[in-house]
Amino acid sequence: MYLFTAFLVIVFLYIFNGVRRRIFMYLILNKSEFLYVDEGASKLLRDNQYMLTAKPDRIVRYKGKVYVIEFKSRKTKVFKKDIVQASIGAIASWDFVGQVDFVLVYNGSYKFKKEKIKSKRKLYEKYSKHIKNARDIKSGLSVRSWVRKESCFVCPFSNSCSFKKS
Amino acid sequence: MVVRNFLAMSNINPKVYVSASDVSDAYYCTYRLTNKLKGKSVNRFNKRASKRGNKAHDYQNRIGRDKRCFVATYLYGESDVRVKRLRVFRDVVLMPSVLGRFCVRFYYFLSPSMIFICNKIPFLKRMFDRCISLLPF
Repeated sequence: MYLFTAFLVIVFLYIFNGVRRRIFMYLILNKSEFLYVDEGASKLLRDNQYMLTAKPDRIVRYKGKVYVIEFKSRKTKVFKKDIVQASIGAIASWDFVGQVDFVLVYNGSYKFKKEKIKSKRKLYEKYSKHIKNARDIKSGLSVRSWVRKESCFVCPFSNSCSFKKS
Repeated sequence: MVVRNFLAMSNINPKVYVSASDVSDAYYCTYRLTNKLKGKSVNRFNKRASKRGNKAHDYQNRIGRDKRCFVATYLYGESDVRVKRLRVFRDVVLMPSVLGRFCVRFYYFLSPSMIFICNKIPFLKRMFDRCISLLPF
């Protein structure tokens, strides 16, 4: 009996959570004011202070707060690197919108992760290590290489990667 | 290239702009961004996945923009020539008359559910596409 009740509670929580996140995403996508939507010809957002560029999927104002939204088509889960991407998008779009309050990443099954932003400088400091690494790689400097081997399963370059060959 | 090699040898970091996707690529693995910059070939599975992703992005970008119009939101997109022609037809031919206004309102009433149904049954989308392309404008 207890097991059955526990099972029912789990099912109820699962359904409730699913409905809750769908309602939130519906509201934020449909009942908000659009400030920027990424289409083919939409402009590239730049931050000249930290030398960053981004094209976030959309920037909206919902209940007076500005959200930088990033969409991922996969249905499994939202990874940390997606939040990093959206956060860089928030830094790059700071000058365009004036103030960003939240970063939101959602996926194909409408699972989402939301992060509150305190200030542009703090956000940059949080990810400065990763930005520096990317900049070093892009400018051809040698960096200490690292690999998280789990990511090789979903890597688009898994056939031709020099790490896998070695 | 010569300048880049010189900078690499002298360990000076030239201030280059970094995009959000570059940082995201280098987050779990440095090789991924290096491979991307070198233009290495992407595997077949990921090519298909990126096509699917682009389609999903297009659909997501249309959400909440002009949700009243089935043709503009779902079939062709807002900036298509056929949509512009249909808008002119709506404004010039239909809107002046009472019956026309009723038709437009009825269409806007039906349109969100049509989008929902067409998402579930892709065959219907093709059918509507054919029907609209048969219209004389």
